[in-house]
Amino acid sequence: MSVSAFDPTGEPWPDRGGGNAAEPVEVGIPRVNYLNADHTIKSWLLTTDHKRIGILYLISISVMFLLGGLSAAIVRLQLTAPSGLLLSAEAYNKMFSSHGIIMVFLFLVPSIPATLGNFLLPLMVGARDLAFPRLNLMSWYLFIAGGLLTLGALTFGGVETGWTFYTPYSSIYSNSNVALAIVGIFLAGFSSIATAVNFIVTIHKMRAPGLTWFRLPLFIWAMYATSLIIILGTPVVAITLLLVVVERVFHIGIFSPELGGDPVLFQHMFWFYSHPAVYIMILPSMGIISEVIAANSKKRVFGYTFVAFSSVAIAVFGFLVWGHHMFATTQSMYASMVFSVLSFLVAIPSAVKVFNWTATVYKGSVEFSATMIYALGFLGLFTIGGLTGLYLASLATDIHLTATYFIVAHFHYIMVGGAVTGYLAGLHFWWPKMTGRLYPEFWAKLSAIILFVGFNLTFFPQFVAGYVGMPRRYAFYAPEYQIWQVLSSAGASVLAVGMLIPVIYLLWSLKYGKIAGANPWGAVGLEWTTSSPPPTTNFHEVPVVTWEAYEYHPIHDDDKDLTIPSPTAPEVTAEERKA
Amino acid sequence: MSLRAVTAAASAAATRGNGDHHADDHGGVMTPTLYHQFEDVEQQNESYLVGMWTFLVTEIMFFGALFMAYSIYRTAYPATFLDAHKFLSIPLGTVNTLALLTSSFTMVMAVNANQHKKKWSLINWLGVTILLSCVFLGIKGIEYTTKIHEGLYPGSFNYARANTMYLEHHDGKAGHEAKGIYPYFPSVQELATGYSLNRITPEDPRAVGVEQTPAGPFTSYQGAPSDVEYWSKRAQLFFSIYFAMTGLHAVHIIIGILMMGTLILLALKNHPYITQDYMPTEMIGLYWHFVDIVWIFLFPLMYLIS
Repeated sequence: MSVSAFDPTGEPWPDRGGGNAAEPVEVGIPRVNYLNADHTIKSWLLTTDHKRIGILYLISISVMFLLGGLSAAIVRLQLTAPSGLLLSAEAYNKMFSSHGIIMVFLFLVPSIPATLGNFLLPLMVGARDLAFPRLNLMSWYLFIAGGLLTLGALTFGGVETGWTFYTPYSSIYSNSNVALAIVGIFLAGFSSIATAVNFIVTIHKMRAPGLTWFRLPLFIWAMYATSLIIILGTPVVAITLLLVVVERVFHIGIFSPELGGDPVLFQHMFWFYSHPAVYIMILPSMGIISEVIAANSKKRVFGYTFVAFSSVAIAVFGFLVWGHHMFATTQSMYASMVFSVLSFLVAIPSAVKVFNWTATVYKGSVEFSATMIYALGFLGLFTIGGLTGLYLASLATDIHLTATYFIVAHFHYIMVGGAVTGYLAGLHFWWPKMTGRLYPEFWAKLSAIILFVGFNLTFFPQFVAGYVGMPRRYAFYAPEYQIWQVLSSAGASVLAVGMLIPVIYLLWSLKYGKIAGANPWGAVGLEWTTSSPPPTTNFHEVPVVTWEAYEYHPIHDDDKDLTIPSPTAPEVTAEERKA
Repeated sequence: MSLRAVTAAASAAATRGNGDHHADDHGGVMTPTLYHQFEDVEQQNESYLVGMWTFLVTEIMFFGALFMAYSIYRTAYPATFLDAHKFLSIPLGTVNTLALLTSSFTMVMAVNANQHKKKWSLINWLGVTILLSCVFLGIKGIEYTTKIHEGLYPGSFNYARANTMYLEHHDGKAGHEAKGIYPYFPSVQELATGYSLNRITPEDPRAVGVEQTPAGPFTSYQGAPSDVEYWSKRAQLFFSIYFAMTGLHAVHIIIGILMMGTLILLALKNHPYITQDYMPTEMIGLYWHFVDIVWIFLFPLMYLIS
């Protein structure tokens, strides 16, 4: 029997490299783990265990994703007819604003860091918990409080500003729900700051002995870069949105032309955070893709240091490009030219990542598992999203394309095709670690493919609609655009099916899934050396790391009959095999 | 100095404290609670420090955005900022600066007392720090009240009233003397009789392209942009930024007072956070120094424009 990359018996990968074979790990669900250590509701609501907080976040953001998805569904339904199917213009404004606000602030920003990051970061660095477990719990409560406030404002009254809260829409031309929604987002921002502080301290101070910076999984590098952006960016959007509230309440008019201020300053301060925030959403996904591609190709990530530093480079460059959101405002032409050039520079670290992932797959022993299908989907969709971003970073083309469906398609390719696909890949990849059970592989593959098809059908037509001139955020439109809108809405229903299937089988697997064992994928990394689900303290003893990251060895067709794929295994020549 | 060195120095200070035969020195080595996620106290303390500094970076960005807004508007409207800032009282600002600087010193003494396990010394220094911050807030309150009384608050900005009151406060000096201080201000008499743009000197950049015709009375002004409206808006912007920044700073002072009050309560209860550890005090000390430094930037930028 050849060694399968997906050994469901839970046997650990036999060779970790450097002669450091992993300890044999027990198969089956450990009798006491973090999930069943205590059963009371109180033990969940007052937990300081990073794994349980990760699960709390997972449940909360799944609800947010559902709500944001529902508003998207209503938006797509409305747009099937040029004169609108359901909503008045005002209700339509509220609906797409709900979609954007919920998806950006309450789903995408916390999605990977607060769920998978919370769960995995201490496991991956070999720590018993994050540095500040109570702060971690507080961050969840802040998120819930902020989320409820925002949802309340969106539900009872609604907000018509779009997710960007541009002044004077948000200050002069809107109702007081804006203030409530903004306070909610302010609280959610504090929650992500708390998470980021925790991550930075944990990565700096709590790595296991021997786990040097360049032995860290790339997911940790991505989390570090993400935390840096959160630390430097979130406070700026917090004060910016707060200034909108004080303008509404106290008439402090820093953004109000009536009071002497300048509304474009709001855009500058908003995008100073909100452009880097795009990297808050995509960088964690990139970290996941590194892990998933390496594990599914059984190969060390090509150019590890380049991929690691490209995360940091994206974080740094991300802060220098916000002006490309304002090419069509009063921003000076020279500033726009500088921002345009800097925006092009972001393509470099992004391309470094894509090429290195591709090179990782090359000559690996690739397993087309569900997680790999998600990862390959990510590569394609992210590349399309990234390259169309260059159209928008160019001054001349941006004037034509800005505020059209082209932009909508571009950022959905990054946010859904990139961030959400990566999130789903990661959720599947570490689902056995979180729950101790395997999901049904067939259904997972099927939904990954449906998702890919549905996604492209939804958003590719929007590129065309935007290119031929359909503006975004319009409740009604000229009939010649209907074909693209109908295609897009049809794709959205396929996409919805692709999102719902995982919900069903993942819940099903909680009870009926196969027992995963400690390391169902034969992956390396400290998180796979502990049982699934892990005990409350993560490791029974502090792990000592003596191996490099991604010590995988690809199994080639030539040596499939070798039971132990190891560089020290004797060469088997063709003649010997015949004999 | 690296964080490790800081911690080592602090530990050394704590150790030295044991030999100090002060009346309220209880002596003994500190044994802080070691939380389960940490290997040893050193790692725990270093984590606290890194965490606190990271948090302070977010605070810098929080205020930094406002400082940027200030810089942009001051660069755009230097003359109006120069005029408007004269409504702020430099003596009151100076007293406040001294109060905060001293409170930073007393905070250092409080941390030092905690490291030396001098309970009452700690409580006294914290008390003095709270007292000084209350002085700061009290003076801030007086300044705010004056501004609101003068009508210099955003939203219902009444610069004419402020000008009148200013003249009253300055022994009713004649309009032309006031004009020496506020070159672009119309006097009370001019406001009553109708204010004319003709007073703008040709060198004034705002004079370019402005029609040199009387703009009508300030109070019932309805027409095209005039100098008065222009000045009012920009000066109002100065006070918008002033209230936003000093207000946010005052909120930080209040949070600091609450935290120091909590420390005093913990010390009175002989809580292990105080008797066996000095990191809580040290963290709040770092926070306090940050709040102090923000004011060190605010004071010259708001009060000392020239």
